[in-house]
Amino acid sequence: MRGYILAAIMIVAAGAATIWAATDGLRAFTAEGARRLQALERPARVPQPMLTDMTGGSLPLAAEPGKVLLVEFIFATCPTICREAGDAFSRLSARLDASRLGARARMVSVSFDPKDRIGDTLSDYGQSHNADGKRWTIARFTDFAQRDATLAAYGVTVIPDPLFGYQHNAAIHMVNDQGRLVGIFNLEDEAGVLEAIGRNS
Amino acid sequence: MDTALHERQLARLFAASALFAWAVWTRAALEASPVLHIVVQLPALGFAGWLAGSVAGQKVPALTSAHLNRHGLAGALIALFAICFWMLPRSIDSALATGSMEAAKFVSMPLLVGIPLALSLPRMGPVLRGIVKANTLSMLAVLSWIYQAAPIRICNSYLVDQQRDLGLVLFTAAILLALFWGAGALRGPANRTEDQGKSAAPSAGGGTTDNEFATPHWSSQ
Repeated sequence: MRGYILAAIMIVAAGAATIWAATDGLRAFTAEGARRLQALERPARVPQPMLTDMTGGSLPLAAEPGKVLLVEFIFATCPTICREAGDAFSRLSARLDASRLGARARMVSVSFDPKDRIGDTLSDYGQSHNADGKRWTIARFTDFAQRDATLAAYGVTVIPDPLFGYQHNAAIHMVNDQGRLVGIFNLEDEAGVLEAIGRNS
Repeated sequence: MDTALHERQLARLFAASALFAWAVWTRAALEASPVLHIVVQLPALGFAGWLAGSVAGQKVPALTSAHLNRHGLAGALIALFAICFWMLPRSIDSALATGSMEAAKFVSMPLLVGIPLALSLPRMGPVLRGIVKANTLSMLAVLSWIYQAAPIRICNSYLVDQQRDLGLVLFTAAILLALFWGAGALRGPANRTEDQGKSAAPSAGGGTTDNEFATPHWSSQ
């Protein structure tokens, strides 16, 4: 075969292999797609920092034995997607109350905004979404030095937004009792979350 | 072969280094916006490689006449895959998140896009050239549509508004390129040959590029 044709074939093979590897087999073209796929196929351990919940108590960002923990990252003054995230958790909480799976999941909305304070914006967020403090509580990082490492391990990117404060990739994260991030779901994907609770607890 | 660098070649090498240094220097500022990142920084890095590659092609005729890069096919394919890789939103996000991917971007855009194109474009026949142009336009159009129509953020590192701006700028770039190439095609074959000479490499540097134009490549090896 002519040399240049062979060279072209080899380049196509190497190039296709690179693109294949870089997209997890043409399945994940975005960073968001990639982290969701990883959670399903190669769940990684995530940090378990100590949080302060909306009553002022300490709460580790970890699932209890035999249960899963559902995690949302928010900032309480967010006018858009964190409201939706709160509504989504509110609906999910109600649904879990009515489900036999209810005993196997707890939920926490974690603020990454240092400006969110207990007794102020953080408690307001909890009240306005009827977080009961038992199944579902609102919390903030106790030590903000741990925040960035935690967000990075979850694959959450927070960027400042001149209009609304921040933009971030909002989703429902599921952590199992081994401390692994085993699922990432769209806010409205209640069915997916319920199904995954059954599998992971 | 004459080993001294001509003034124009020196100027090109200087411009290539300056452009690369500028891209490194303005890294943070350009990467703060997806438009500057994708429409200014990436092409600047590629162009720096192209400038260096065009000089290398003139000084080392073996590079431009390499049998393995007949018709510029191999070089075009290398550039195509490298461009595809950096078109993935996931690659852009990871370049922003990790230092090694950032470094890979600064190395691969000149080395795998600019230089191969500089060594290959002059050797391409009209068919391959047409394919490259059509492919460029369609890639730009599809990307611009995706970035404008997506209801969610495609890059986690950028705002929704910035993403729409990027789509709009890519659309404009596609239109401008189409007009530019369209006008070139309308000017007729004589002028087009001249264009090719310009975009390839000035013949002053010597080398085999001009022969590559003149000889049809379909002849046997």
